[in-house]
Amino acid sequence: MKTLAIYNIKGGVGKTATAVNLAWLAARNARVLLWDLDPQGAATFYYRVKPKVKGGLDALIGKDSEILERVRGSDYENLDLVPADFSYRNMDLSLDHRDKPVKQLRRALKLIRDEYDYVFLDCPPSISLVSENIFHAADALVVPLIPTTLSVRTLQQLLKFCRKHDLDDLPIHPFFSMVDRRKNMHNDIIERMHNGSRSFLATSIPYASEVEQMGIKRAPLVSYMDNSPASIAYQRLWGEIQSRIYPGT
Amino acid sequence: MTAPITYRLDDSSANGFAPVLDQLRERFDLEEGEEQSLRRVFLDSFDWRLARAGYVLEASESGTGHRLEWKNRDTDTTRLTIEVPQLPRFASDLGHGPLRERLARLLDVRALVCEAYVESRIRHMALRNRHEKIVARIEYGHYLADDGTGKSQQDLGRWLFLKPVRGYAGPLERAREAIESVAKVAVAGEDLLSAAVRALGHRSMDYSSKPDIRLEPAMPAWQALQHIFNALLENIRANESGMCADRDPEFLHDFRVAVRRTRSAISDVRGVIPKGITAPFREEFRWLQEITGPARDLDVYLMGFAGYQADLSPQAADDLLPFRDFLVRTRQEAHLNLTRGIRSDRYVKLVREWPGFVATLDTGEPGKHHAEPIGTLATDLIDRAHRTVVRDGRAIGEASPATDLHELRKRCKRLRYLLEFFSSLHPPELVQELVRALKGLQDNLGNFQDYEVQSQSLDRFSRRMMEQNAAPPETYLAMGQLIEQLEEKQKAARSEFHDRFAAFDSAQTRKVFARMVGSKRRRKAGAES
Repeated sequence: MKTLAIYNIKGGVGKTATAVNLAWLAARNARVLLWDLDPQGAATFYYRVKPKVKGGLDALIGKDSEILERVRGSDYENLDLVPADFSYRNMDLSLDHRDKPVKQLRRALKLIRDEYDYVFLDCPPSISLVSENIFHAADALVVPLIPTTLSVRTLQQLLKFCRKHDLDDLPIHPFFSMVDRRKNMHNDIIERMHNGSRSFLATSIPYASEVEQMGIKRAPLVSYMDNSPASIAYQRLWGEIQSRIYPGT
Repeated sequence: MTAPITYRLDDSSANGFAPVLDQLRERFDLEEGEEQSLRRVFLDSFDWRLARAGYVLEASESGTGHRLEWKNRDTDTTRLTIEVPQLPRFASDLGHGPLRERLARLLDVRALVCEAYVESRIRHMALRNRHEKIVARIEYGHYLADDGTGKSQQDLGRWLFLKPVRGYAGPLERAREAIESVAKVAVAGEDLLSAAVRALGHRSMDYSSKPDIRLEPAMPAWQALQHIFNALLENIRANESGMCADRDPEFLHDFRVAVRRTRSAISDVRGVIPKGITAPFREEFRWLQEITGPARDLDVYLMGFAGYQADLSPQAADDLLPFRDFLVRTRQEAHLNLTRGIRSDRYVKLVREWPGFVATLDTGEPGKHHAEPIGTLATDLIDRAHRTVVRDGRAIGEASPATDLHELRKRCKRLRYLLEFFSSLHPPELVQELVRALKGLQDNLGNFQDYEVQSQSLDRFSRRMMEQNAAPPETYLAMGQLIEQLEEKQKAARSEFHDRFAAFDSAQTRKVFARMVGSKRRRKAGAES
């Protein structure tokens, strides 16, 4: 089982759209779990699942975790979901009260490692105890960035945080999302970052109104509009991520 | 994850699934898919390794080739899906990835064969709740099975599968009630694969290299022998075509094991049939062993080739490659000889006359133990064979010749076969413990013999290759290195022998044997009462 966290310190960068679409693409030939950790519950909404976990966060983490009983099947075979829940908004506090607070998520995921091939974590923005849990649970971080100076700075903050917390070995795969090729600044930053860092994924996701319409369809874009530029980009992105996870495939 | 619930629709139902759908419509929004034709094939090894491990490998035609689905058999959930240009025969035919790894682990050298084809006209349907969320799925339609030869199709009738969606137990229960309220629908009691295989005249998991021989202690010895011979002949016949078609090396191996066991049963279950009567058959089974031997030996070298290479330096490993070409060529000839033998009148006569002979064991000339209850005879035979192994093993010292170890190996094998033939007469945990103890010793003796035979064969092969001018000098040098290594390994096996034998000849193993065979007096008393 490989756990991929879709993460950025900043909000509004396309994390949920990435998590929702990549999870659907992965589920075409693997067993996938998407855990919506963001109390806003956008991924849960897109997948038409009720944003409620019986027993709240306490039922999911800790040694008595009942995560498998709380999983909901999506409308797609091989793709399950741990829904968002309002209790997630106090996740920091809840984690802090436990033994080994940074390993709680990792421990819960261990319980389901035989059930799934991929777990996608749709992460809330911020850098906190929740993020530290995510970093310890994940096999890699997939980091969407809007090509703006401010957004790129958040990547530096993330790298610094990882160095400081002995997480140097955690693979980080940044890529650009919501790219508007008409904007010179977007083009300049993409070119500079792609040339300057080999860790960047080559695929960028274009800004597209279809992505925003996912909320009306309540389904991942790749499932109903596979020829749109954004869908094609998500497919390429997934191919690229897979070849980083399993080199040689 | 709970398994799908499988239903069959009574053949007499005139309206098909319409009443079921009406019931479901009252409770859910139904989203009906188009009717589609689907032809799928179930793949497994001949000895059902995937099914025994709880998996199903299903292939269906897709646009560019085949879609392979790796499923859990009990829950019918797909664990992996890949697209392949053509159906794989071996695990190594697939690209590197999780499916290849899993198949390789389970199949080892076995090939995939098509166990059954299922053709269907089906519809998929999603059951949605009031929030438009899918809470269960159904697949239903008409299914037919065939064996892929295009000869005949077997009608499997109309089936419906209710498939759960995780986390929606309540709606599943409501769907189940709706379906089961229709009179003409009944829970199937078996899965589609089992039904298809049964319709084609087989049983799922019907072949095992270790035949299941069920005996009763009171059964007369001749009848027990009948069961043993019949089960072994069944395995001989079952492997015949796969061996001749050269599907994978295990067909030949299992064929030979069944022949060897038959020979062992003829000679070692003594006193039931007079020796003179079985002599011609003994000779024929020896012949079978002989004609299949060379191909099997070459299979062993080919399967162990990567191991040989790993024992050498990378350069020498490359130098060894012409030897593999030689093995492949020689094996082709050996296989041709084997096939000729199996297609000969001599073989046809043997497999015709042997079962006829076995069928008349009750009326034929009786040996002195002919009617003895197999319970007592079996324990006597096991007891005697065990004592012989212990006696001969204890007599082996540092200076004993290699032939003594080879003899002991044969005696161990006889004891092993007796334990296996009569396993149903004894508590399984006793049999398992003894087989485990014996296996440790057999492995050691087997290695000792194999290393010797292999180093001698390598020497013989290199001479033949030289005569044929089949390789550059470096190849012979690499083969020479291998011979030296095999001799070293044989020495190591010899030095391990005493520890292995001591482990077998332990107080614990003797105690287990004693529990199995009891005292002779008690056995006799038991038989007379």
